[in-house]
Amino acid sequence: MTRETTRETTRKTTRKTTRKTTRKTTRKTTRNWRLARLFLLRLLRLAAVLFVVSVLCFLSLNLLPGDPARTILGVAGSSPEAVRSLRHELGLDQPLLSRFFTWLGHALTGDLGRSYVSGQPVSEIIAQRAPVTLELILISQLIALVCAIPSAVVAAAKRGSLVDRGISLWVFGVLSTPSFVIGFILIYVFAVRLGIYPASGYNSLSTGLGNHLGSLLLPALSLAAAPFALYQRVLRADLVETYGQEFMSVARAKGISPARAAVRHAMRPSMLGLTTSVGVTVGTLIGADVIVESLFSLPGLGAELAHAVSGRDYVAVQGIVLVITIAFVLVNAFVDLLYGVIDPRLGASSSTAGVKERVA
Amino acid sequence: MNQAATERLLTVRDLRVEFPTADGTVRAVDNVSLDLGYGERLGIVGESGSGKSVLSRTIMGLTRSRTARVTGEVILDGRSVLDLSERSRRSMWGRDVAMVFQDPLSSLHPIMPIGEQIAEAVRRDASVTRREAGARAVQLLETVGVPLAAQRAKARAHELSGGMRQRVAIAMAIACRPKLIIADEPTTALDVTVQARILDLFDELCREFRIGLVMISHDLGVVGRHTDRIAVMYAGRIAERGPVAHVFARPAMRYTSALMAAIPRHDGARRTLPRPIRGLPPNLADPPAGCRFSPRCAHAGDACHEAAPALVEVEGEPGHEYACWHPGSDVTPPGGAGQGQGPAPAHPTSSEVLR
Repeated sequence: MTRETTRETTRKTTRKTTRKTTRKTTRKTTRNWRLARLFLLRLLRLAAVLFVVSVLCFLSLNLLPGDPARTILGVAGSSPEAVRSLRHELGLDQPLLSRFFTWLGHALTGDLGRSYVSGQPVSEIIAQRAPVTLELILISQLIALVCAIPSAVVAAAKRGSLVDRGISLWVFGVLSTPSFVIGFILIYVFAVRLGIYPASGYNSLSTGLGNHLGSLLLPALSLAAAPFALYQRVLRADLVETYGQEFMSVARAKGISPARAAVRHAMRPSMLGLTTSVGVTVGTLIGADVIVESLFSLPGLGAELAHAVSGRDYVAVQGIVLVITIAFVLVNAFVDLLYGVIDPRLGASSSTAGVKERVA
Repeated sequence: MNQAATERLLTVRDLRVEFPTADGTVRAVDNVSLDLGYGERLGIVGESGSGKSVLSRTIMGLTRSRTARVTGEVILDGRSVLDLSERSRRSMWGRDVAMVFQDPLSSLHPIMPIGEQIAEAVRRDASVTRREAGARAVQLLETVGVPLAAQRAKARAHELSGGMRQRVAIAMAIACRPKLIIADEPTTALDVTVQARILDLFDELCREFRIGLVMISHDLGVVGRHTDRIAVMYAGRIAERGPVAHVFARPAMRYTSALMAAIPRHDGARRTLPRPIRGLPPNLADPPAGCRFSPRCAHAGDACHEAAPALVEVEGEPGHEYACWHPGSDVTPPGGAGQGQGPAPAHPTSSEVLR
């Protein structure tokens, strides 16, 4: 449909204007066209990814031992009749495939179903809990980047020095410590010993900004640790490679200060690896998020996901995973766009190919 | 500043640069001495690995003390470069001495627009505002012959041709009116027609702004046409040096004449094929005893393998020095071999190579 409209416009303009302008218009239209096609392809890819993830998620959940009906009724009320009627009520007596397609059909119309356990609509659960997780991940990534970028720049500018080695040691320490261990350490130091921040629990924004951020700080820190280490490694390696390039010698021979050389000359060509890692990390972060949210008892998606899995609340799990997948794909589409901004030589269409080559 | 310091732009005395490596110490530059006056152009010629680039970077003070051991003296415009701190060297770079590198694509920033890169060099003088620097960058682009300078200033390196890129690199080098430009193989990455134009540009700039030039090249023809004096380097040492006309007319050191014989000539009359120099340059971690060229030299005698010859001045040609036990030229086959120096009539090679 877009295609026809565009063509129509082109034809109209062609008729009206002189030859010179026509050429310009056509070129512009083809470019818009390419962008539109790119966008459509992305959209198709998103749909394909979502479908595959849904199928895998649905199948794997059904492979798990346990029965939601039994879990809901508990040991006391689990007479065979009660279980059977509940299973019928929940639609669990239907064959696997038909259950999946019923869910898919509803999901396409925006209805993610109701939680088996609480009976609350899944979309409502997500709407309540997603903001907490979103905020937690944003803050943690901000902390990770704010710590990783300067330390990588310093390490690369003074590569091989004592400072570089010191930072490397620290980073490898952090990298090899699981996030929940860091969480425990933070709780012990800041909550138990110093008593500055609450050990667990969540204060909503209505209790004041300080309280709110205070309750998120320790979980965000434990979630930031591993990404910080990864980002520092990736950026340092890219920077060191950039420092080996001739144009950095030229910058030096121009007599500009090392700080300026680092920030203005070395940074931008070295950002691609870091950008890729941020995109990928945000996806893998959900695993750590489940643990950290449970540890600090935050009412986020991660904790809810853990809860839903252990309660065999298939519908809730499906819905949450779907949302997480969409977020992941969107973040990486955004990262793809960022490549072109960082390095204009990587045009919109060739961006991913070029970068993948470089990163690999 | 004393009298001696003001009359010479650059003095290099007994410069030695060594790199400790796993295979032993590599002496890339060995006892090199050079002089250069204001506005004078010096060519340094040699094969790859002869130490030309290390020499040029050391003159600039770009070699890092962590990786290289440097002894000797480099006096640039009255200041001893090697004794300066990193900070004072930095204040000298761009202002007193600037460098043009071999590959203009890799020596320009891949993302920063070229105008901005030049403006950055201009803004070394703190008083210049951002806007003034931008205008000055466009002016500089015009000076080095980039057409449509105002538009090109917004372009990035990959959007320009090789010749344009090298012009941009030169504009960057002259941004702060340096007294000395060191050009490390500035035309090697360019094709021949573009090469000629870039070399003419260097000539013009040196004349107009009285810039001293050290031009490093492996191409005798390039150096011969565009410099006043020449120094031939072999395995980290100076083999021969002197005014271009003298060195070309009567090369004394055997390596120099072998280099000249290796240049293809197209003079039609005598169909002499270029004669390649056999063998490879020596491994600098384990250089041959005596004259370093002796293993490859057709005229080497016992003395050559035993002791290194010192630089000796050619009689009647002040400033023309060579380091050879059996000096002479074998560029002209009949009669010319043997004792090449002396008041011989104008040599055919000079006109051929210099043309």
